[in-house]
Amino acid sequence: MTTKSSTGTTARGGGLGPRLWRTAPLCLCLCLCLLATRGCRNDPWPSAWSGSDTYYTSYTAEIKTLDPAVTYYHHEGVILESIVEMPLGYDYLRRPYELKPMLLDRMPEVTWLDAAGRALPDDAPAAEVARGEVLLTLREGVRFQPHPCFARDADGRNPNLSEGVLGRAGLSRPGDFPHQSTRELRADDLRTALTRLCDRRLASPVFSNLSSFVEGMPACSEAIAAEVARLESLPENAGRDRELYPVCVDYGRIPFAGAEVLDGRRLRLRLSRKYPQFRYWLAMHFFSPVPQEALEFYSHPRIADRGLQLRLWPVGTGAYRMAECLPHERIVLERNPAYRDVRYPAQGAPGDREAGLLDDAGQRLPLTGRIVFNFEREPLPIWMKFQQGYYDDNGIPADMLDASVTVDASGDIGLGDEFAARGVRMVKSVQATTYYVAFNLLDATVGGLSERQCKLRQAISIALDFHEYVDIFSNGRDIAAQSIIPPGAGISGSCDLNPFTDETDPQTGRPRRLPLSHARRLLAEAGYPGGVGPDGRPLTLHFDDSSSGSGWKTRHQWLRARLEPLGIVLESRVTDSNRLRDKLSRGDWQLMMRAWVADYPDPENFLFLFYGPNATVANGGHGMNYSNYASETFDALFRRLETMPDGPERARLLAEANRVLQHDAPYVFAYHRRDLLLVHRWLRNYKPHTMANTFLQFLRVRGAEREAARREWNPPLVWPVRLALVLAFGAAIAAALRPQGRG
Amino acid sequence: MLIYLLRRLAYVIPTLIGVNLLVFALFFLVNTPDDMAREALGDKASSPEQLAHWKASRGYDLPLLWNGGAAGAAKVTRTVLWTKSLSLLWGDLGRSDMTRELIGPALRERVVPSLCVSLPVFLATLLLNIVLAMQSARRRGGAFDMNVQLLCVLLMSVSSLIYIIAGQYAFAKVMRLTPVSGFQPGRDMALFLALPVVTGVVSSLGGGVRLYRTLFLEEMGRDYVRTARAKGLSEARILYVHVLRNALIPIVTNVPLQLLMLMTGNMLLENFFSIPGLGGYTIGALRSQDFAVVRTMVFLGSVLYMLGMLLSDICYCLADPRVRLGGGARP
Amino acid sequence: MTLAEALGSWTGQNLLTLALAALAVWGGWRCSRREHWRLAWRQLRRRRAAMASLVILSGYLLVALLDSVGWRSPAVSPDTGEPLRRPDTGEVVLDGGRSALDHLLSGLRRRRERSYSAPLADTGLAMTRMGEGGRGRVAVPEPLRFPGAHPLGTDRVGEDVLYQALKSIRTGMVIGVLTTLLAVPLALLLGILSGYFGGWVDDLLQYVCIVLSSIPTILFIAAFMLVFGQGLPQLCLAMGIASWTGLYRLLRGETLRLREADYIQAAIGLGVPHWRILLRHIVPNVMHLVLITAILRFSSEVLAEAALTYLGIGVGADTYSWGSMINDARTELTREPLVWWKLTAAFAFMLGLVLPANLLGDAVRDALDPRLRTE
Repeated sequence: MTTKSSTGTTARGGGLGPRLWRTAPLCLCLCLCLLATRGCRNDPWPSAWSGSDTYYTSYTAEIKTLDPAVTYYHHEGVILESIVEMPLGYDYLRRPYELKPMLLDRMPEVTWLDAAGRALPDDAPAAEVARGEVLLTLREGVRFQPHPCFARDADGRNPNLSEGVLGRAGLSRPGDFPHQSTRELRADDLRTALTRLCDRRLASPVFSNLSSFVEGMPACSEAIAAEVARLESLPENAGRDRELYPVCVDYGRIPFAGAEVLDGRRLRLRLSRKYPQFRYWLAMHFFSPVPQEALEFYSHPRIADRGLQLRLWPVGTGAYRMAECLPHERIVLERNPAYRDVRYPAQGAPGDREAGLLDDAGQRLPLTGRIVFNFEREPLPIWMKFQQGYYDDNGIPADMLDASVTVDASGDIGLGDEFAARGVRMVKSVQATTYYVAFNLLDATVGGLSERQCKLRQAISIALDFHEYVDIFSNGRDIAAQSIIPPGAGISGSCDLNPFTDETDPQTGRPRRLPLSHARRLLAEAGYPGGVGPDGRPLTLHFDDSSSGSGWKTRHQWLRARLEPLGIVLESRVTDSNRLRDKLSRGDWQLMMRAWVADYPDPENFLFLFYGPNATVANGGHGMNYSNYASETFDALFRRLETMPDGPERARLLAEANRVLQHDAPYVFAYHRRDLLLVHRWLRNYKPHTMANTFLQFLRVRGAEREAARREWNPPLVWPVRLALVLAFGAAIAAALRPQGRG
Repeated sequence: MLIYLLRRLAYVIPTLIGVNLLVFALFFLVNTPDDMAREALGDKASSPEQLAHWKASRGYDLPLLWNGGAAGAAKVTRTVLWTKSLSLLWGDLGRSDMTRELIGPALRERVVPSLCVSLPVFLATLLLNIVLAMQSARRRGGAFDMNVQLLCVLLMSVSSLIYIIAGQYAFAKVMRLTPVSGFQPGRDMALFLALPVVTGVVSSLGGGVRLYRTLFLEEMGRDYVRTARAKGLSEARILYVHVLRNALIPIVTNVPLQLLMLMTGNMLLENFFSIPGLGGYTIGALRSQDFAVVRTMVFLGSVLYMLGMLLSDICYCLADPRVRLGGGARP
Repeated sequence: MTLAEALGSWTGQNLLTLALAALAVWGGWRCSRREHWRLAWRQLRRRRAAMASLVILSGYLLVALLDSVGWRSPAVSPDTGEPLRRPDTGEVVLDGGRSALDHLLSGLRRRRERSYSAPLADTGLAMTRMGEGGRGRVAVPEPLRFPGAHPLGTDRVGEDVLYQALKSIRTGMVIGVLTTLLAVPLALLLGILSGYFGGWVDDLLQYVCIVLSSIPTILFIAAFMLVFGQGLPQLCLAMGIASWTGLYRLLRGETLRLREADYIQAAIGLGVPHWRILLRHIVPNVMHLVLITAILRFSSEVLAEAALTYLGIGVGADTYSWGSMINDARTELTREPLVWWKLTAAFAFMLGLVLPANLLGDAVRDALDPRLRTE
């Protein structure tokens, strides 16, 4: 605002009187600017919200869709799963993760049947099981959020879709419609959601996954396609733009063998094979009920014209409903008035009571009335606003926490003094995530499963000391990986020590990398003494990467520097993500760094990454086994432990599978993400959960405390600007006052 | 002049076609429709049927340039080029490939924040440029001139990224005068815009002042200035009326071209200050390989550019009635 | 061996560097024989700022040249420190080669720390874990391997920041010089052709110019880099192609004006061949515009690299550049204590190149402007 002034420096010669007059506009501008500085403050939120029980957080990737059948991203899941509910949910406080009924009345009742339809015991081997039946019973009295789609007049029509309402201006949100209503949840809504996953028009990311264990999905998909074709050929839909106004299918009338509605509250799921992990799927938003009314409402052309869509305005039974939806700006959730009586849990994990996590036990949820998700494209503003108290947590923690934490003797992480003094707390959680450097096993140099080839990969694994990587890149926050399965994330089968790369540090009792001399010996045994290959040239490897995100350059530098002592030259080949995918599907690469984020807390969800039949190249680029690792020993182990319930037998098989992978080293197991979230002292009840996104309703914000802190931390410092203004204008005025000859 | 303008207009259509073809070529040399589908669906959901359906639903299942299987004119019209790229020529913006959101309303929504930032930046820069350059030119060789020149060179020698980072740090963090980032229409808008606007002005000031100073100096050396002085006109009047008027010609030829930047937003500023404008929209589309949005933004850019050229021609004519457009010599 | 490989090898690169240097020297020598330029040079010599700029720029140029020539040397075994030999033939194995600058700065390059350290500090930023336990925080700043040896500190992976900044000089210079060398001759050629001949040549060139310039530069460069891959040559090519249109318009206008001048009309009337007129009369008369634009262009391209790198379309991973240093700084500024030295170093080195280039450009313009000559 300092720059928009100083127009009339049009001094002309002549007496002092007229010249004084000339400076009047300048003086006026100065006064205005000085006045304007009085309004300076750095609060980025509307003043109407100050002091309210609002939780402020941020997201850094644009929201593309909140359609429960489609979205697969974490930041979208957090928003969506506060609006919709799933049949099952994870307990908020208990660890290890425990599934409990959410929309269901009781846990699902499973029966495994053999080919003749006889019930089998729970531990029956997968080969004997022909199909399974799951009975889901819904809770009573669950209601959808008030929404215009449920309104009905005496004739059973929706009054909101009448000409009188649709003609009105300003209907930009569902809440603007005059007739709002709600209705009780029925088993049909669950079936609708499931059937909808088969609709090809949506391209649900889980369709192929689900159809591997739910019966009749491909057939249902065909039936929907036929119904869509029939509807589109109807005379009233002639000339209808399919793109703009997709026809609305009544999913209740589509035959679907996988789900059968028994009555208003009971649904039978039919599984096509033994797959005990289906329970975890019931806790994902793909299984959240979708009311047919909402689909019909949003498919009305006049509604679609107003930009109202299910993908932005989901309809659910959850604690919140969407109040404002500007995906490229901000998303605001508000309390759902029809939310049933859900209470804060009265029991938690050991230590929760001391941590104050049970202070709100028995309180009705949600504890916070409004949630604001603000879109930030850059990390720096998030961090600054968090420090100023305008965000309640620091949102995405990746790069920002680096040095605000200190690491103590036992490897525990604490906060820097400055933050501790402000009452900022730190919340740690191990993510069900594994980062790895993959080798392409089809490659002539780094691939192959012979002993020599395995030794080369082991040598590289030792040289890439991810203990150091973790220290440097995340200040010891993350956990250097010993196997593919993260420890401490509530998943069985993790491994404490990888004997091929690590040894136990006698001082700390924790793993550390084997000495480099060991790696050099392995390298020599692999046929590359001193890193020099049989052709007399230094061993040169390619590291493929896509240049996304900040810090990738330093990552490359580190990898290069780590391999240098072995005499191995690492060349970076940076391309965009398309070329990278091409290379993956052709198998034209050597090393690559990637990550796997688990869908559910079961080791099967990690180990399938190495299952031979999932190999990427063999599947034309579609399998998840990027390394194209194919070991008969491992495949046999995997088939046995896949559907087995956790127990000593499975633990033994898991240990064996880990050992095979550690020896063959198709991956350098890099690290598991440990999220450290910084939380201000006024945000209570925050307990991280790596699987569930339904945590917002448990949070409590102490608005008054926050308000006081914000005021205390952010007194505007106006005098430098005022001084600069006075100086600048003073100079201009002085120049205007000086009698001037010719230029 | 009319004939000249008509000739200019006749340029517009082939140019737009050229721009369209170039963008089409550049985009599809890099991203095949398969890539787009995979990007949209994510790694976990890219089975061949789903890719095929994604492409079919968005019209990318057609051949890119030539549909040999179709009959007659459909050989050309049933192609991605025709349906996706050339359709722009008749004003059909279509929908985003990734979010299926209509592009027209999306643009309308975002153009306001973009203009809120870029218009003040543009106006303030123009004003400051002229005033500083004029003062500098009339005190040529003096201390003021030297200082302004040095300052300008200094300002020009710093990457705009530094201005943004330093501005956020100083004004929002240390002095706590403005929010770090964000945008809110209404009463508080000035508060949110102050920092981006100041940053934008500072980073584009140096070059402009120097350019305008040269132009003014050029004019000040002309005969009519000497005549005016001889007639006893005041110095200010000579400068701000006569010199400015004559020097305005190159300025106005330049100004409308900057309309382009005004509308499409400043990508860096918008990204750092979280302003929901068109610049961020374009970057997002580029990153997510949203062809529909990319080609619309480029198309919009080229239309505005052409409009700017036309306007600048008209301005040129109005500023200096001696100029006969179409006469050939036009710097 | 393809052209790209040839240019990528040290021999090819050395030859190219020498050829370019020779070309520059030859050009300077030719200019020095012209009265016009000698006059300008005398003007220039009187300006202290210009001479200082010239010295600084020469320094930068020297560093860039040193970084552009290099050789391969015998590889040394990391175990024993002895030269490596082929197991079968006993031949000495050569490493991938390093530039002359790398050899000069091998001290800086080799002095790696574990992670961040402030300029001239004795300890790193990171806290070490103490061996034996006990509760409470026993966080002690980690002693550096080479205390006080990093004039500008070290970065996240412990690399010396001064070394990175020096290595970035070549990138900056290559971007500035190559882009200018691409854009300016292209604009000169097309501009004077367009202005001189008019007609369909003009129409066609104008058309190309409008199409190119109506695509936003960033979009164009992004698309170009996606097609041809990330790398320094590609970036220069893309920036060159994207940036010739401005000068082209300027030169076209100037040529249009010159063409109407009496002496050129006379030359045309006398039947002098066109190419001769273009070379003898038009080109020398627009040379001052070209030179000034080239110098200003140079500095703006150096700055543009930073913005492009931020947008993810800059130079590749193996190349040091100020842009990527600034880009890293975005996250470094969120640390407590603040890691300011990388940003500052990049800023200072960029300023050190761009400021003298601008000052020199100004001085050259003044020296070439006959009206400003003070004899």
